[in-house]
Amino acid sequence: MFGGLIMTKNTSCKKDYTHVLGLFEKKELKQDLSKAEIALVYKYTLELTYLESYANANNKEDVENVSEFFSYFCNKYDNYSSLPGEVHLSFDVAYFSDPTSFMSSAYAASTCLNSFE
Amino acid sequence: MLYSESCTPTSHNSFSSSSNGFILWPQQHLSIKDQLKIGVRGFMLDIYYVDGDIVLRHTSKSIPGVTKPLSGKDILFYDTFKEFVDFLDKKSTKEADCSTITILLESYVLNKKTYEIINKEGLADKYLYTMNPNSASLADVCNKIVLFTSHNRDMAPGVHPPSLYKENDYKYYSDEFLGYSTLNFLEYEKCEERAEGRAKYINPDIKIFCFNHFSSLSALLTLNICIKPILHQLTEVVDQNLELLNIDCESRLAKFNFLKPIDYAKKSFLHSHLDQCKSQDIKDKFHPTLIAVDFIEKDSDVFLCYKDENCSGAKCDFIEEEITYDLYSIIGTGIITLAAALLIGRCCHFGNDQHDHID
Repeated sequence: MFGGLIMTKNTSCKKDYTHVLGLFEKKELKQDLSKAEIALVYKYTLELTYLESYANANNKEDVENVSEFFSYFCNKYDNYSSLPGEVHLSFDVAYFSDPTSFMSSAYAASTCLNSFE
Repeated sequence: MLYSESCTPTSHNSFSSSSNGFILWPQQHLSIKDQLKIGVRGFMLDIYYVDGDIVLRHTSKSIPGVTKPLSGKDILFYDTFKEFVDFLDKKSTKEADCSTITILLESYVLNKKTYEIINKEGLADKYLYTMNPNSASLADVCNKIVLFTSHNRDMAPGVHPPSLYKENDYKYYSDEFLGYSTLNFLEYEKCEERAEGRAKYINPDIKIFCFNHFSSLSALLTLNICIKPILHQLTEVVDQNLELLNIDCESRLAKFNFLKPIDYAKKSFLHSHLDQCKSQDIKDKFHPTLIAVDFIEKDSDVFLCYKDENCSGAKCDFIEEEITYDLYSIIGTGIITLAAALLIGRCCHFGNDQHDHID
C-alpha cells in the first residue's frame, strides 16, 4: 500500500538547541518568558518528543546537546517545580523513561539533581 | 483459575479515541465507557503530571485534537479511574458477577503521586489489588483493579512495577540507508520482548503476558486519520438502525462494503502475529493474558481469538451489552472531524520531515 518503506532524515537537535540557548542566555534568572519565547521552547520540546522516540542513546553528540539543555534549565531554575510548563513535562519524560532510552541517558548525563521526590 | 490464565481483551491507548475528541491520529473509536460495555477489561493509558493533576495524554505535548481532546480540556486520570470503579460497583450488585479491570500505565509520574491522586477518596485502597497478581486467582481479583506502571523509580501500594509482567515489543523496524533511517511498516512485528523494565520471557515466575498487537500500519493511514472515525460512526449507526427495523442489512449494505473501516485487528493478522510468539517458545504454555489492539470493537477478532484455543491458548466467553449511539453527537463529531481534517490537510505538515512516534 505504501511501498512498505518510509524514510526519515536523521536528525540532530543541535541547531534548534543553540537557538533556544542563545535566547535564554539573555534572560534573567526565573524571569517570565514572552509568548514568542514560550513558542520557541515548545517547538524545541516537540523535537525532544521526536528524539525521545527515535534518537539513539549511543549518539553522543545528540545526547550531549540535550544533556546541556537539561543542565541549563537546572542551573537557571532552583527547583523542578518552578520549571516552565513545557520544559517541566520534558523533564518528566526524561526522568521516568527507561534508563537505556535516549532522553533518560541525556538526563543522567546532565548536572540535574534528583529533584522529583 | 489464575488471573494470569484469564482473558483480558485490552485496548491500546484506550483514551485516545475519536469519540473523546482525538480527531487526528485516534487509536480507538469507542469511549472507555463503551469499551467496558463490549467486554474490554484491559486499558493501556499514558499519564502525565500537569498543573497539579494527572492527565491522560498522547505524548507530553498539549495539542488539542491530537494529544488531548479537541476541546483542549485534559482527561483526568482520576475521572477515568472512577469510571472503572463505577463499572465494578454496578457489576458487584449483580449476584455472582465478577469482573477485574487491568490498567497498564505508561507513566511519567511518580508512583506515589499516582497512588495519592486515585486514593483521594480512598478508591486506591479499596479497589487496587496489592499482592503479586501473578499468583492471584480470579477470585482474589474479583471486582478489583490490577494496576501496572511502566517505571520503578519509586513504589506505592497496588502500583505494580513493570517487572511483574511480560510484553512483546511493538516498535517499527528501522535500518540505515544512505543516511536515512528507513522504517518498514509492512514487515510484521516480531515477538521480541519489550525491555524497559518488563520481565524477561524466560522468567518462569512471571506468567502475566501482555500481547501488544499495536498496528504500526494503522497509525499511518490517512483514511484512519481523517475519514475513518466518521465512516466508522456512521456505519455503526446505520447498521444498528437497519437492524432495529428488521432490514436485511448484510445484503443491502454489501455493495457499500468499501465504506467499512479497515479492521487492523483481523484475526488473520492477529493469529499470525500470535503464532510468531508461540513459535519462539517463550513459555511452555503460551497464553496471552492481555491482548491489546487499536480500534477495539464488539466484533473485533481479539474476542474471537480468545474464544479459540488454537489462537489464544484459552477459551473464554464474553458477555457484551448493547451500545446505544447518540446520532446527533456523532454527526456533530463527524462534521467537526471532517472540517478539522480538511484544515489540517491544507495548512499543516506536522513535524516536517519527522514522524511522531505514537505508542
